[in-house]
Amino acid sequence: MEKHKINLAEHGKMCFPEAVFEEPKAEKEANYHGAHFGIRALEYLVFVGTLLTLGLFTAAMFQIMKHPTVEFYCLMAGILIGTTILLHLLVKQRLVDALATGIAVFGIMSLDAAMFTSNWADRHVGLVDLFLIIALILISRKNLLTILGIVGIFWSVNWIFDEYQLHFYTIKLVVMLFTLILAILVYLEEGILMRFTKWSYFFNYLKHGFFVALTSYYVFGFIHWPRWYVRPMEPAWYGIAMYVEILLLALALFIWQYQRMKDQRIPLWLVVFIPLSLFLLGVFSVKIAFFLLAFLAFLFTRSIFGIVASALGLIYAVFHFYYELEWTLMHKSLFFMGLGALYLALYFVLTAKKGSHE
Amino acid sequence: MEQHERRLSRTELTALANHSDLSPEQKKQGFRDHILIHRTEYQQFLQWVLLVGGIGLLAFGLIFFFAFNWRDIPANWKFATVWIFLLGFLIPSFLPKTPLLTKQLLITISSILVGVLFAVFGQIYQTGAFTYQFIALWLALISIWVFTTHFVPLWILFHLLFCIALYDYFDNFFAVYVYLFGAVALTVLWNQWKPGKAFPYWYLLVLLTPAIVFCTARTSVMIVDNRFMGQFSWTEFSVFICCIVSLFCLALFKKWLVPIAHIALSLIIILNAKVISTWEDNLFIPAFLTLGALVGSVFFLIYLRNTWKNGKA
Repeated sequence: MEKHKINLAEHGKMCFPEAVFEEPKAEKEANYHGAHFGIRALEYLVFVGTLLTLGLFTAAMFQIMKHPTVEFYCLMAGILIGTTILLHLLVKQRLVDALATGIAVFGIMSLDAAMFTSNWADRHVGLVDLFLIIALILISRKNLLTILGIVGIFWSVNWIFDEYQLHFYTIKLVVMLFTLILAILVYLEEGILMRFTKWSYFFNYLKHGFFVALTSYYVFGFIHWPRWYVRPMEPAWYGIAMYVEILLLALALFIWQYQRMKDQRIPLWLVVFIPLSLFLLGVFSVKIAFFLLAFLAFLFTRSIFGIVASALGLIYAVFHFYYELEWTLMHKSLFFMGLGALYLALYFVLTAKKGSHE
Repeated sequence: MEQHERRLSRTELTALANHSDLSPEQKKQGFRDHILIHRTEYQQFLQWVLLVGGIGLLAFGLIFFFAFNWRDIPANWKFATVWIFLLGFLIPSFLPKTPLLTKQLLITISSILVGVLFAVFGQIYQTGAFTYQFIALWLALISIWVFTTHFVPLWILFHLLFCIALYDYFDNFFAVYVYLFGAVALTVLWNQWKPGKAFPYWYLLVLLTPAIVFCTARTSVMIVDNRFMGQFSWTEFSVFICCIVSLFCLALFKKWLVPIAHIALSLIIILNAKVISTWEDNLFIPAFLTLGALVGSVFFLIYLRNTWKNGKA
């Protein structure tokens, strides 16, 4: 593995000449967390392969035992979840992490099967799942399990809310809460690196997890989910609240950018108001506003995974937008033409200003 | 910090911050220098947003405007409208002062508009939309632009259209995956011939991934259920083996790991399809077989990873 290791010694010294580094430890850590050669291909093969193998073994066991007992499911869950915990605690290897995550998926499913066989109510199964996933994330604090775990938490919470029939607590509230947490994680990344450096990898994984969970909602959440889609008791202003929240978070993002570039004499309208005007489109589709915010936030903080995923999400949202918008074609046309003309005018103003400065 | 200096990645910066005597202020400065975007990049980004957003929204607005009045527009004017749009995008792309990327974007939009022109033709003369003849003609007309522009998104559009046309004509995925494998082979040959104009690795992955998904799905379903997708054909199976073996050799030669991981999973799934259909009352056999094949594949990939010096993930 020596040939593909990240070499920090030279570059670290170039960036921070006066600092003293513990080079072996830093390199070991960077090589564990970094996306160096081949690790993604191997992780993918191990994770998908684990799911496939465990799926086949489960099916094979069902052939032997026609009606497995609760004890059997509990034993399976105990073995699988115990193995996951032990692997996460004792081994620090990316491939083993992927293996442990695949095992965790089957562990949780076995526990669910045990609870359903014992006739537990859906809501109680959901609650147990939720606490179990939180516990596993806190124990592991590693890449794949954290990201998938957050997605699991998101849908578990929605499941629980749906089961309890809490009329004012709906999926949209959960989405708003997750969006807020995602924004906090992005905006406070600098502070986390300064003060809680040891936790910054974990917070980075959490950030990706929250983003993937929200993406799963915005891409799949609205489609054919009758109970969640139609909520007669849901206040009508929840949709507006989602948009206003994104707008405020976008404003915070641009003001933060402005504060950072203040000493470089970039005008306020350029940093805050032009990008904010992009969010006018979000009035008609919260999807667009979310992916736009995610795209900009990840672009400003140079997160490649976030940039690519949110750009794809944005393209999807724009296509979906056409079907969601209940305007006449003429109104759509006039709105688009007006906004397009405004942007082109601003582009020429910006180019002219840049030319005059030079 | 100089703009073109290599930046530290997030992981590298965190690792350095974790194992050094850097003060919080130095960490903050490191974060701002290496992670956050800089002023010049921000200005470039704004210019792009305004230009692309402005043209895009204006085009959307015009499309909706004509769509609103579409029924009332006479047939000749419908054609004229699309032609005006087409020429409006095409002519600036031939101007010598137009930057290369803008030219490529304009030609890509023009290529899409050629399809719109045919759609209008199909609508007016009721020729039937979305048939392979329609797409074949579209492909024939844009192929010169595709070959001369050398723009990856345009190539992806070309392959997408070709795959749709093939699926529409043959009504199965066999021809589609053979075409995609062929496209990969030609791209690799091109990259060898013209290294200065080589296609990026991600483009090859974009072609390879659906090719492997389609060939795995088709072959495994063909093995499991003869009725669902036609009789099992040895010819087709031989072509599949040839494609997979060729890709494997190519990946070994070019030092690509992701295609090898894809092939490993594909073969495990197809092997399972055969084993399950033969011993369907004892699933422990495919389970153990999968376990063995998976462990073997992982060790093989780790071995390759440790052996190769300049491979691509």
